[in-house]
Amino acid sequence: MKMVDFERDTELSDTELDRLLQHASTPMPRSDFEARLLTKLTFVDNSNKVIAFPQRKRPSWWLAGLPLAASLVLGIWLGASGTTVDFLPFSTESAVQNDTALLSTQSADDFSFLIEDNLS
Amino acid sequence: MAKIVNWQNATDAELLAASVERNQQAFAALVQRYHVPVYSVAWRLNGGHADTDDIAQETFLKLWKNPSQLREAAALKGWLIRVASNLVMDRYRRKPMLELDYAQDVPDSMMTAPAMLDQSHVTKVIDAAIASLPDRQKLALALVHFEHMTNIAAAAAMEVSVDALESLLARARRGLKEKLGSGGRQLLATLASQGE
Repeated sequence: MKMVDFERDTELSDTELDRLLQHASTPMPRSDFEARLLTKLTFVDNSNKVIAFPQRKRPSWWLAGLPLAASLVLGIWLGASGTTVDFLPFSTESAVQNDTALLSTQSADDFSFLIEDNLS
Repeated sequence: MAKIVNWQNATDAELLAASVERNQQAFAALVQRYHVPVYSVAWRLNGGHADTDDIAQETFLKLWKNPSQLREAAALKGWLIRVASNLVMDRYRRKPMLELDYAQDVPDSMMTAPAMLDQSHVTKVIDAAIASLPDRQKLALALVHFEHMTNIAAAAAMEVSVDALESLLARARRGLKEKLGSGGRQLLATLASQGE
């Protein structure tokens, strides 16, 4: 019982606590609080006016592959039909034709001396 | 709305309506009216941490970005305080208050002279005792005791019932008495000896 009385004696009363609370710090913002905030307001307003550039669409990978595929198909078709020569430049075309003509006029025997020379 | 030249005398409702129309002068008047209580509550809640200023500024920026979110101008002060206290609590929920130096431990209120004779020591002991309270008790105490808000207004700002607010206040006061202990009387004696 005496212990309880002792505790009551040591504990602050409400009035005493209020008196102590009066001595707590009184925080005050910096004097330029308003000025700094108003600067930020202008910045916020301006940032709202910024219009983002529209995102440019990246071309699809298959678009790049399309001309390559077309070129491959055309090459196969031209090769199969034997009309490749028609698309070659004139000088290349005549050279090819001359070589073809030379081969057709000479028989395989005409080249035998070349083989013999190489063997000897 | 009639054009108001002297925004200092305008009501909160008029200032808010002008702020919706992006009137910076009206908003500046609002800031001038409420920046001290907002700063003060944030300071109490985070134990005087250096980023109190940032929190107070962020609170007003939130209002400026969307002033129409506040439906009742009469609740402006409570709304600002609620936003500021939420910002403090969110910030320290993410980053525990390890950076607070004197909020960690309440300085010994039984210290002997010459420390006891120092008025600033008394203030430091009381501030630390307040800072060591749980957040909601601290907020209730700050609103009612330091901002002199009525229990009804403080309860509205905290979005709790008046009964809950009174309970928080009672627990805060009990907590302070326990933390200050018998040294509280010595602090009072020090103040009395200095003629206060």
